[in-house]
Amino acid sequence: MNNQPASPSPSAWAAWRSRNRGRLQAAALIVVLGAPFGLHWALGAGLNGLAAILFAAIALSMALVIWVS
Amino acid sequence: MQLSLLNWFLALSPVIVVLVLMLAFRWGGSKAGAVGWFVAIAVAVLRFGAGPQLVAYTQVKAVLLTLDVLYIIWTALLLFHIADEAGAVRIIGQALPALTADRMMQGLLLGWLFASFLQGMGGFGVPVAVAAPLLVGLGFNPVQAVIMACIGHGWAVNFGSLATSFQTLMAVTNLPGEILAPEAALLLGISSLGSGAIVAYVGAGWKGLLRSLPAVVILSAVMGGVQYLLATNGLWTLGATGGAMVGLIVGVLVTRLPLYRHAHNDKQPAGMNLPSPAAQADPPADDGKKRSLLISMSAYIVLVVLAFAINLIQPVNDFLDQVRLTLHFPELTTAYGWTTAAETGRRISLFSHPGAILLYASLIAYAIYALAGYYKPGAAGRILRRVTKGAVNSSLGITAMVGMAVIMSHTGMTNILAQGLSQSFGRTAYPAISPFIGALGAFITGSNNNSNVLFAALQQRTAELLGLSVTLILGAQTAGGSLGSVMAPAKVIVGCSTVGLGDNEGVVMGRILIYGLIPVAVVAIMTWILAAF
Repeated sequence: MNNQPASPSPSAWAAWRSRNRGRLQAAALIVVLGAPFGLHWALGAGLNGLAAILFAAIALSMALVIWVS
Repeated sequence: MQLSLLNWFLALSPVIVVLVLMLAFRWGGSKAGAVGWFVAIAVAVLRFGAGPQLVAYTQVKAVLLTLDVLYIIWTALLLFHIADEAGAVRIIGQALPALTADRMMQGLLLGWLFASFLQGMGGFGVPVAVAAPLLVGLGFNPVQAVIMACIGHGWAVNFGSLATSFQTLMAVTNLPGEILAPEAALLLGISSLGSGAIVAYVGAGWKGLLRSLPAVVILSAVMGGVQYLLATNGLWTLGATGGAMVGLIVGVLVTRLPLYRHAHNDKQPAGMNLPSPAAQADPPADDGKKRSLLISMSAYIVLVVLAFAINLIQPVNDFLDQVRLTLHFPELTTAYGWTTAAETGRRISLFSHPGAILLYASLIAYAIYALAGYYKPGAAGRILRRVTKGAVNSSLGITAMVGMAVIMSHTGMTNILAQGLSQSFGRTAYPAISPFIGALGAFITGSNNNSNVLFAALQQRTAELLGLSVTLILGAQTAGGSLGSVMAPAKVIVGCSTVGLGDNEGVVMGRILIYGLIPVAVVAIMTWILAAF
């Protein structure tokens, strides 16, 4: 007996993405507009690790925009 | 970094990627802009010597520029939907054609003056979406309606939407509006003559065009003149709004002239019928409730009063200008020595910004419409949903493309592009080319604003290298962008969808390109003449 849940099919992913497009775009917008302020502070304080994480968040949000749009 | 063919093409690659994705693959601005952003960063790091700190700081600079523009976009959409939900836009649109029996004049009132007024207040495809169905309701063919509504407001895009595109031009070039406004307003004022004449021709053929000439000359002089006066006196945010408002008032007076009081037997120009019959859209829904024209216009009257008061009454301006958002940036240098000096980023005055003025006007207008009983239950939720739906996607596109443009200018990529252009075209030909570059950017990205983000710094640098007037070339850039944006597939699709031409966008697009390039050519000739003398 196999209790492992089946992974979503590509069409289920597409449907989920389509249903949540607006929310995902809004989330991406909040990150790309908000994270740069933290980035500026982190760079000024010499916190390069935090700066790298925040820049990665911006880049991931851009990738999310490509995926959902 | 030396100018070479490889470097020039690599510097151009982010722009090319955006253009190809939007034009050939029909991607939206947000998706194509995000890919362009990744390409710009990759090229900047791998070829133009950008370090991690430079890349990071450019994103912070870009977000300040972006917020300066988004503040206006979100609040302009809010004001429009507050008026639209109250039925005010429909009332204003219906009141105009009742003034004259001459169909050509009705077409001018709706397709030129009212569409330009809507561009002044809202923009972002709203003029086409609202004016085209009203024109169809008056009996114009759907193809005619979309062309008239698109071409009619082209002159008003740059100083419309509270001058969002012009604000971006200032931000990207770091030049004050007082210096940039005269040439941009002059070129756009002249182009309004072409916009009006094309609307008259498309609506009523050659006979209608000839009859329209006195009205078109008077009205374009009035609108272009008022826009020029406002823009050159620090009120560029009200340039198109003020011009179109005065144009509407004078237009009402012009309908009283004997020439325009009666119906005429005009013929539509050839090529306005579709290969297959299209379903005609119904005119906008009417809930049967009586609404006053004055109360319907109150949102826009309040906006104009507030904008004048905040911009012209110095103590009010000083009081509201106390809270500013800005950041300081260190000197940034690439591995190849391209340096951007330490500077303070874009300053955003939170309470006297054009976006803040729109927000105050929106809140007051909502209260007026609510007190007048113009809203159905749940109106506030519907307004906010429409604003969010309309603004999120375009905000993402602008954010990505501004990020891309700032990276390009801070790594010398824009400079390499400008060097290549200046060596290819030369001082004599470039002024005539510059409006077409602006128009191309707007056609492909769907907005005058994005065109300025992509190409303004490039045009500025090219003008400097060629020893041309920077303000003239930037005026030509944004005028070309303004006129080119109305031909953009995104706007045409909006127009087609509102008049039941869903499957015929390609046909309409072809017609719009033919008519839309005429005003751009007029601007190119004017720029060339002004540069020569």
